[in-house]
Amino acid sequence: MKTLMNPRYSQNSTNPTEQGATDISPYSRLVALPIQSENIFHFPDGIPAFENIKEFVFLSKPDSRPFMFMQALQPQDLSFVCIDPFLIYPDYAPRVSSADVRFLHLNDITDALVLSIVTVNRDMAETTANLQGPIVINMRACIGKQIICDGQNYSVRYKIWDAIESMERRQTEHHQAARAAGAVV
Amino acid sequence: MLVLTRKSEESVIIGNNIEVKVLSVRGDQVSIGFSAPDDVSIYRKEVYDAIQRENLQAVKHANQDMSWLQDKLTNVFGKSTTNNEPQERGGVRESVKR
Repeated sequence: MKTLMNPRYSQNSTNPTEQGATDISPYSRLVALPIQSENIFHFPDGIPAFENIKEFVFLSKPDSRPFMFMQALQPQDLSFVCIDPFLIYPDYAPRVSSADVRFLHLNDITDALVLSIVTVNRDMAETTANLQGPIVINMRACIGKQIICDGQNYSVRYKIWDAIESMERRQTEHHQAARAAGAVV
Repeated sequence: MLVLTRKSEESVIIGNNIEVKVLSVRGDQVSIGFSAPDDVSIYRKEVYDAIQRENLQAVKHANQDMSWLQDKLTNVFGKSTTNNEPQERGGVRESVKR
């Protein structure tokens, strides 16, 4: 197994998981490591429907950000578009079962990086992210798995466009409220 | 497929460490309890199937133009979202909280 060694890696090691399942929230995650294309991530179980594909690299191309690509080493034309789910669903908190915590060797939950696979549709409004089956990767141990958040009410087809629209609306309301408050003062 | 008839509170053993127990039957709903080692994942089949289907759908993204969506994301979160450097990530979190 290839171990990721990066001097920038934060060594603070609280262990909130112990033996049990754990929720990953935007605030418990630590994304200290930039995704590096030379790092090969091992998916011992593959992912559902692609059980034989065991090795992936993650590519972030400047012209496709904030989307990323999860690309199989073999065959190389097999790839998935991914996105940081916390970007489009700020309160997202996928539960990682104790089985998955062990599978991923996630002794420290802050080693986890969570990504959602995106289903791109010709109609952009219909482009969705899979929040029920997030890809969880252990950045330190380079192991990955598509976990299944059964029992949590996340959509397999979460509409990205709609989510951004409602965030935009909230932003606008927030700005308007701030302006209104400023006018009073 | 092996078919066994069970009543409430009766169970079956699979291998030597997985127990499946019928807890209650009400109309066409059956509550089933599972006792299995921690490394055995148990999902409802339709959930697993949905994820399988979605993965098959998701690989068909080749040559799709995503620029509209990228522009929209950049509009809301600013350019900082587009970089996965650690310091930029902090920026993402802040803009999300806004």
